[in-house]
Amino acid sequence: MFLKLFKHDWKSLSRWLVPVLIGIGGAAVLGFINALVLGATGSGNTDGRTKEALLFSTFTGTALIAMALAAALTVIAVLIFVKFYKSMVTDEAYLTFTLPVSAGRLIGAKFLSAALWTVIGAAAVFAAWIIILSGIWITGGSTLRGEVGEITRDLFNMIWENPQIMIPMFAYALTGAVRVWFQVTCAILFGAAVVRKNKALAAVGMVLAVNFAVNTILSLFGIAGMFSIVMGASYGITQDSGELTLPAVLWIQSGVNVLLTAVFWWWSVRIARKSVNIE
Amino acid sequence: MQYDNIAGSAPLTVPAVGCYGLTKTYGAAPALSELSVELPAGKIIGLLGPNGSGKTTLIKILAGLLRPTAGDVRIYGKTPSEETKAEVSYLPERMYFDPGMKVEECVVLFRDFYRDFDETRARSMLSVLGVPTDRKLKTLSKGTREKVQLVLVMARRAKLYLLDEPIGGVDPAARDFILSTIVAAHNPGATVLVSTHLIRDVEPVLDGFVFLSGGRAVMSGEAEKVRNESGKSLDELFREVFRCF
Repeated sequence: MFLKLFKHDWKSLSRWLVPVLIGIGGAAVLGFINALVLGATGSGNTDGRTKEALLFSTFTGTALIAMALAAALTVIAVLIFVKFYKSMVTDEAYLTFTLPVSAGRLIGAKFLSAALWTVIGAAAVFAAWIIILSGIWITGGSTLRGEVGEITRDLFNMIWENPQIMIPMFAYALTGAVRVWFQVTCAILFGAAVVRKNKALAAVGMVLAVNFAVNTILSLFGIAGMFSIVMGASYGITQDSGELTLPAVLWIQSGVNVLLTAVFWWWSVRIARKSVNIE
Repeated sequence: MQYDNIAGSAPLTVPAVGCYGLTKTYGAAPALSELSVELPAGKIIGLLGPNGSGKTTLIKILAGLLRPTAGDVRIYGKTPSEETKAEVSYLPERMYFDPGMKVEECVVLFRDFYRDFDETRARSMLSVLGVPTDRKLKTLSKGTREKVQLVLVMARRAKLYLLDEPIGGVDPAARDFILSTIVAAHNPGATVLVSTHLIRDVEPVLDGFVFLSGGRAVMSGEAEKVRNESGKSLDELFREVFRCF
């Protein structure tokens, strides 16, 4: 039954998100063409003023497209949560809550489909950025290619040569993303499905209130981490002095994320099973 | 209030629906007030009452969408749960499908989640109605969308059908279609609970009735028996009973 729920949630999200992916693809093509011109202009021997104008316009265009691609991730997140709100609170909730499935499976399937769509969206945006960069790479001439290659190499070296930082950072990002999803789920259910009137307002209010509370808790650990860095813990790769190191802070925050995820999961399931009022 | 039994005597089998002191309040306002009634299995029963009498609230509690404030509710002896949801076919008074879904996807959804769903019968009914299954719901007329939902709900071999205002807001021809579909398509032996305030239209198909007012059952019984004893139709009786309130 879980797989069937997942299948239908996946399809339901795809109706909204496939057009966004097509938009990302279109932006990538546009950005690629723009980047080809940018690269060619940068390495070409055109007149000074024309070159400057072309560089300015193509650089601005490429930068705007790259930023729009980043914004697409926010659009995907918002669409996922609007879809979730509709299926759990509005008319569609009449179907959702009369299906013969447990509340845990219901929420779990929604989480899985939302998580996969988020990963797909992020991968699509990353791929689009690579496509745009490749445009500069192709026409940019050897000097520019060398510079882009150097930046890329530095980036990968930083990742591969510092696993003691990168692994906890990855764990923190992953647990944080999962926690945020369940946090918003719980807030929507609590704010919208339990109250009677102004459900959308209640949902948004609860999302903000819970977010504020959680971030306050997490910032306590964050401040401690930042303090250790400022005081010279040098990313805290070594713990000789017993200081609170950056990796340690990240692991602690990851642990808090896991704990909060469990709390929000339990609370969401409880609301969906016992307290939801679809009036 | 004492339990009313539509069959007129103590049930030999477990009632399809049993409400015992059922109360539901929205804030301070009671929608159901210590409602106690038992509905027998295998009958088409009208849940009749004016607007705001608690019909929809009762149906939502039975469907598992609302939780009672107090009292107990049973469906074939079981409290509303995943188990009863598998046996209850619920038609709300609004569209509950995503308008972006195709009719085909709605059929597949019912097939995936309801073991008692008779897909062949659903497809046959949709075909008779000329509903194109490859069209999205939002491209169909309101009437056709409602028919799709009704067909899917009635194509289940459920033990209890909960139909909330199925003929409200539709033209007389559509009412005839809906009522004939309910009578012809429901699982034989199952209970059908139809909530409406359009009593004249629904009366010919009813075996029993419950008059609700202010969240309480003010009268209930077998339709034929009451008609014979009072010499009045349910519609006339309804007007008479509710004139007092």
